[in-house]
Amino acid sequence: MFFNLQTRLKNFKKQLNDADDVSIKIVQTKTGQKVGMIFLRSMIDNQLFQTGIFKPITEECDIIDMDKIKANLLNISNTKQINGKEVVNCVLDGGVVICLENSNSYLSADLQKYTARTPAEPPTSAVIQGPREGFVEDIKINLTLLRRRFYSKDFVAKQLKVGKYSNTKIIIAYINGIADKSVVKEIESRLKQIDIDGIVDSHYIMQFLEKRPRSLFKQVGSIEKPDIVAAKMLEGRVAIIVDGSPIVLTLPFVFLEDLQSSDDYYNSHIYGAFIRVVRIIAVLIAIILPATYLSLRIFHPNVTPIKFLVTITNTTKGLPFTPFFEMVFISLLFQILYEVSLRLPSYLGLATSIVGALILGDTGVKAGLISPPGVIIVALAKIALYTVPEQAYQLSILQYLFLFVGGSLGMLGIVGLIIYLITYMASIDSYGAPYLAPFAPRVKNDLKDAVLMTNLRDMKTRPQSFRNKNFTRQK
Amino acid sequence: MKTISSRQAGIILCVMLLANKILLLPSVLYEYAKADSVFILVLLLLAEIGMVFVFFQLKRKYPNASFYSIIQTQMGVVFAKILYFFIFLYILYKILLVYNVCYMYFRVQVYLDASFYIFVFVFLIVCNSTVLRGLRPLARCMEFFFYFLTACFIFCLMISIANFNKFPLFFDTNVIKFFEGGFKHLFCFGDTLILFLIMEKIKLDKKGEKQISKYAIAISILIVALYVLFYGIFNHISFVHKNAISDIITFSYRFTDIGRLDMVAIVFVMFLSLFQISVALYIFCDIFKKIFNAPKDIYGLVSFDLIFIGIVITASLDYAKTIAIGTVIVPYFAIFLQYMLPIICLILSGLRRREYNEKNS
Repeated sequence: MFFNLQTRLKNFKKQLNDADDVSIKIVQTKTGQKVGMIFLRSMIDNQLFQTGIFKPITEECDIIDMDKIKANLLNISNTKQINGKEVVNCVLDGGVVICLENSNSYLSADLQKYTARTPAEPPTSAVIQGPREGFVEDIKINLTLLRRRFYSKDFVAKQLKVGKYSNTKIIIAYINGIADKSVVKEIESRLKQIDIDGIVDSHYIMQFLEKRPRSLFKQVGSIEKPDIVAAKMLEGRVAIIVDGSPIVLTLPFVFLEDLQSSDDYYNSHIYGAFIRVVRIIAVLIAIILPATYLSLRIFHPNVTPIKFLVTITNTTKGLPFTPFFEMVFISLLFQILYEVSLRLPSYLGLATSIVGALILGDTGVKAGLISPPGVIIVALAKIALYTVPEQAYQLSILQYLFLFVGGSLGMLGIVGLIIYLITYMASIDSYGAPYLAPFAPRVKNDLKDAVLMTNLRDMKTRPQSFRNKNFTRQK
Repeated sequence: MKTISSRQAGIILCVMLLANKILLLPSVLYEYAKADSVFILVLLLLAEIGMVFVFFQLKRKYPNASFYSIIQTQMGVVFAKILYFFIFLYILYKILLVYNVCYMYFRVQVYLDASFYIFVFVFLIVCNSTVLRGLRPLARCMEFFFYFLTACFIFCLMISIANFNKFPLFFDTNVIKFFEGGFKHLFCFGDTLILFLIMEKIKLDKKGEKQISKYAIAISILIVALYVLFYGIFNHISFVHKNAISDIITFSYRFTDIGRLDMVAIVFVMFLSLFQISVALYIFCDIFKKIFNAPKDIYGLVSFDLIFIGIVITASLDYAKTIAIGTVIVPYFAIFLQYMLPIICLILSGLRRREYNEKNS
């Protein structure tokens, strides 16, 4: 026995809480047979609906069973027969569900469409040479951007849904024959274990994938450009694409990854090696320089070069703050300016810079509140943070931590904190990859692409810091 | 069990071999044997390298066994506990020695007016936290800094060549003084014992043996070079300079425009001392677990902290007292624990095997 078409469709609408954008249409074919349709107006391509579904059914079909309707929907690429239990989910996915009187089978046609950004160069991963397209918020476009780089049957994309209410689509992508199956399985099982109401961005997923979620250090790669993800997949990593996020996650992750840039591979390897050394020096300057300056001023003036000491003494004479508070004050000033310039509209950015640099900085020095060496050192350290933009927030916290330790315990405290942090980092394991590889433990093969990188032709094997199915890259 | 690689074991050995040898020892030895102290050093370093080979033999015989279980098998449970208790005290002494020597060094060189508690605080916090992470992260951390530390050490040696005055005068001591100097300062040697105490955690193969031997020989050569340079720079006033690695560069007048170059040596010693104490503390906790059947490292750490604070603050065991104890009491323990015990274990295991083979045949 079959219920009336209208009743059935209303029942489905009720299951969707009678939402305003749920549409029900009952039309008649040429032969007068009734065909019902239910869909979300806000999620479908209305033009395609008119030309691809409405017109063929009302004007061309003389029916009448599901197979014949399916055969008439030539413009719709993705159609499938479903049962009554799947109807609501298909509607939510942006499908148009078609049903007939006196039949309990349903046909779902995928007409999902919503406005999405076109791929553009991401602001934090700009390159001088190399591809400029970046991921967008649409999972389909992101998958296409990756697919386009692998015309191979070995490119695998598995879809999952996470989030009780959001039902967010997540795609696990990897290269079959390169990525280690156990890593893929582990990631999959971790994703399946996530029991959360909703996922609004890939950073939500990131926290569930991290083995030490309370750690300061990033343990999952977050990338905005398809060429970088493709390169990482070729190394044997697994990519995780989350619907609604322009950031694709990669695993396993090692600390060194953020010190590398895609630019390094698109230029001469000599320049690549040089720029990596510069980046490491910048990171060291960012973290340690203010703390070292402070410890030299407070604890170890006797080891400071005499000319430098004279300059510092002359410029810090009469300052109202202690050296520690002076440095913290300048650092916080910079942090506030940074936050303001980040949130303000771009046309106000220039004004903020003028207020920050000229009025606050210059006047502060002239008024004798802060010293020029302090300003120079903090400014240099803060700028150096952004040579590794992916780790800027973590490094910023470390900067304050070192500042505090340097100011209260001196050089020994700084060295102690370095040892503590490196030991901590050495204890992190990211899906079989030691976090500090290839330095600790030393993986000789991977040193080729560590700091002093070699030519691409000499990188004949994939990284050995983490599990891989196939180490040979080129013969 | 989380093991460490042979390279990491080699690096730990290098770091431990440097303990107590690069600051105070050259000047103290000079009082006994003058420039011939270099020969004392060479002899005792050869003994260290010899013990590395004893370690390889024992490791080949018992690839997965701990030193404690080997002693237990060879000599019985009670004897093993007693011996380990002495090792426990010996390691505690070594930690206090490193701490006191480095404390004195930092005090003179960089912390002129700083509070004593800064040192206690830093050493305890850093070493406790690294030990809690386990041996593998600690070994990896040392591996991470290995090239940096080696570069620092070689830099100090290279810079000091500019100050080299004249070649030290050798064979200028009487034999009794020579051996007395060597014996009394045995407490600064015997660091290969560390390898025995962590032997079950080392993954070792033929290549690994070569690697560890190479590291041991290389670091020994660098230490000998430091002594030759030190005596060559300071000659008859060597006994005045209590901080060898630092002093050989401090007086580098050719480079004074750059600033105090001994900052390199200071940072080097900071890293080294924290590593040395961390490794020794890890072993201290491991021994504590074995003797008292403690389930976790934290018990050993808490006991160490209490003992350390008790000794350093309350009993005010300073640098002079530590060395006095070292030269009077410790050599007898050292000679047995550092050299004789592993050799006895090796011989006994050989005898047991022969007995076993004879019985079976």
